[in-house]
Amino acid sequence: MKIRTPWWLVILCFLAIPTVVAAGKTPAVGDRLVDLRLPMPESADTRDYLGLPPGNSFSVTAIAGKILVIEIFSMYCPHCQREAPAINRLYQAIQDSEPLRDRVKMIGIGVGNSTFEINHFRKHYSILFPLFPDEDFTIHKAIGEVRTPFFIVAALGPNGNGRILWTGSGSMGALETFMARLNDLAKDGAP
Amino acid sequence: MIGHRRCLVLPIAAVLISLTVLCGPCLGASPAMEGMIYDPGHLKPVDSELTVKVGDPAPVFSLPSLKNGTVSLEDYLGRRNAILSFVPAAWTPVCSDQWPGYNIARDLFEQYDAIVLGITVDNLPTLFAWTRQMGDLWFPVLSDFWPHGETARRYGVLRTDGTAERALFIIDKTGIIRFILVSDINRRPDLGAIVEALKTIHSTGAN
Repeated sequence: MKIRTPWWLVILCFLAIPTVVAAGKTPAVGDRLVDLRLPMPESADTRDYLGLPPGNSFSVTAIAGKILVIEIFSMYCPHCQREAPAINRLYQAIQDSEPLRDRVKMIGIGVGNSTFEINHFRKHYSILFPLFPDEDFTIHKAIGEVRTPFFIVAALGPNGNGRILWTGSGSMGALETFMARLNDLAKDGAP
Repeated sequence: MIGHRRCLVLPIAAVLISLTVLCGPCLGASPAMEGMIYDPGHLKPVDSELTVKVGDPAPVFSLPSLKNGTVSLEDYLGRRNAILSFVPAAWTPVCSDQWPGYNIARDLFEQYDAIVLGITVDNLPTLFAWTRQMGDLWFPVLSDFWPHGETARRYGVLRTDGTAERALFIIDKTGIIRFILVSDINRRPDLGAIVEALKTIHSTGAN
């Protein structure tokens, strides 16, 4: 006997597929970073820091440098609030380091946060590195809806091409440990 | 018959997975809350009907608070614009993040002479345990537990399951409701919209 699938179930199935595909897996060491597209920063200083070519948006792997540190955060997350001063110290330590300054770049992505909210977070904690909104959770879904704060260290450039070198959840850990890790990863010839 | 069942499995599974993914952003996302948040799944966005509108005198209330004894709306008349922040219940997604966000927005609210009054239908012991992990909240947290949800009911934001809507009311210094936002319970309202409303009230209203 020929079995017929109801037409409305077939349509529902197709409607569901894009949503499932959009849900990514949690980034892990060795993976390639999924293509995370962000709006072009309005500030010329920020574009200059990230070394971005002209355009309306950019992929994070287009950032100039050897290593990219991404903090996934939310203005509403108490843990991210408590971690903010430590992240600022990390950024400052990178900027103060001659070998790392041009090789290591940092950005923050505020999941579920509007532009207003990330700007408030920036002002409240005097954040010096670029922050980007992910208001509709697109990026959050693409990286497996990680808990915040979540840290991703990825390799940039034609050789690195977004390869994930380290991830951490909940806290970036001790500043000295993080800096030692970055120094190792940013060395010429580092894997 | 078995073949027909198989035909049903794929579409139904796809829809269920879809709903799970859609609910993802609703989850309390901080590691501090990991394993502590009850996930009710995706809820009906709004499940009540407002009984007040912008321009109405705000229903007055007196509720027990965590730190300030009994707090009444009348305590702020002539002194502050009051932002009533109803959230559905303690230990639920989204709510567990909303007030920590307001905790770092004190300067934004105070520049417009505004105070936040956080309200849930939970009792004080529950609110005590729940808010401890948020840091030291600067605004009063009020318990609308008994008579259960009475204040939420008088504003028309008590849901049929006894929780409250995710709703914001801004009441000016003369006691008039100037702004109402009943959000989709699964989503957090944008802080920018609240600040924009406060700016308008401050510039046009009774200051």
